[in-house]
Amino acid sequence: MASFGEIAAKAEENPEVLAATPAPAATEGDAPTEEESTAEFTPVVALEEVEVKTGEEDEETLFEIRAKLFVFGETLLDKGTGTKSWRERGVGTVKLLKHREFGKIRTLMRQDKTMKIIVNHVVDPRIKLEPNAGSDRSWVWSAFDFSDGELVETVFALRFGDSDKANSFKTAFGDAQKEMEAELAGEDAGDQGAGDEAAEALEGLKTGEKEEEGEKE
Amino acid sequence: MAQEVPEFKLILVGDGGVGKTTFVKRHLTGEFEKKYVATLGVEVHPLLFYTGRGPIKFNVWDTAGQEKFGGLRDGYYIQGQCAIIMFDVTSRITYKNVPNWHRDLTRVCENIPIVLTGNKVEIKDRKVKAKQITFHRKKNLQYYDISAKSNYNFEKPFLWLARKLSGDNQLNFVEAPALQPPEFSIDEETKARYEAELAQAAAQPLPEDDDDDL
Repeated sequence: MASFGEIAAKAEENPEVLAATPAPAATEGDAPTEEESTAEFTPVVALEEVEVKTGEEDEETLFEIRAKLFVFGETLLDKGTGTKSWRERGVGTVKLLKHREFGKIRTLMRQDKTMKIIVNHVVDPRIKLEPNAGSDRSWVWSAFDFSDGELVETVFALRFGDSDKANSFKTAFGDAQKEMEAELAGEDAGDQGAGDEAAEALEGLKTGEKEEEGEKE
Repeated sequence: MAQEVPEFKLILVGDGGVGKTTFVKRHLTGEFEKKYVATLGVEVHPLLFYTGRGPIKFNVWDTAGQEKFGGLRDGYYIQGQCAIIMFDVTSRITYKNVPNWHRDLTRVCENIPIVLTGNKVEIKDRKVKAKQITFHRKKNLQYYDISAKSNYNFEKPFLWLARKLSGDNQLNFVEAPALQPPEFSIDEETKARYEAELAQAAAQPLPEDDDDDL
């Protein structure tokens, strides 16, 4: 339990605290009330405040949902053995973001609390979401991920709270893929400036489609 | 605007098996390793965080926790600018050893910000109760209950240290800038290889654990 002194001190910064007492945070069992050390240190660096740029300023959120992310690969213990397994990469909100000017859609996910990027890839129309080993609330896919500032082919899995949530993500992702497909086709027909790139993308797209038809037996 | 990212040497100490390496890996890649490898020697992990005062980097020295490998030499501690002392709340002995780690650390590093962390709070059978954790008060350290498994408070030790090192007690982590992924093209051979890997991944079940937070 927090002492009266602590509560009073907190109440000074945040008057709601008094109203909310005496119920202590019912999280994590007998977690102690968080107290702040009063130790004083000489700062080691002087840093200027910076303007925060999320990189999402020119995008609109088409869809967002909470999920847990996994990546497939060799662990530090299995390096070089070819043995691959799933590793958790964090919990957070996965978003489908559409660029207002260029129409491009990407999948972006940040880890909770640290806000570090753990998924960042273009919603390529060729990506297929596969179920994971019979689970009704997970999807597995492969993409060229740009989380660390370079393109790396990565196999991801997302697990959702339940199958409805998993399905809503799949639907939104499929819709985004259709939009991207139309966007890429439109770019090819219209804008001369981006012509070459779009043509290339479309070329890849057609190849993907043919294969998909082939796979449907 | 190529501003140099400030770097800090962070010393991570505590008994073997309390979860130091797991905790670092949580931040390195977000992965949670269930297996334990006795860390021999030292591994330095650069951990980058984005703050309201720009990016900062902690070079985390993950040291050999177990005394049986010999205590840590002064070289581990020299020029340490901040530290995390970790114990396991399910193991009393690891808490009893905290003063020893603190003594070794402060013998070399005088007056650096130190966070004491009690790990594994997700385990129901807690042996070191909140009331029994008093060492930080005597030495004026910051204390956090953490769980490297569930990510409970996993960012707090770094945030507190960043606040002390920068002298800004209101400092917060902010969104890392999400750059636009560039265009790319892949050939058929590569594509086939990726599809095979995807099939392998789809067949391997995800680790089962609590998803209370979803």
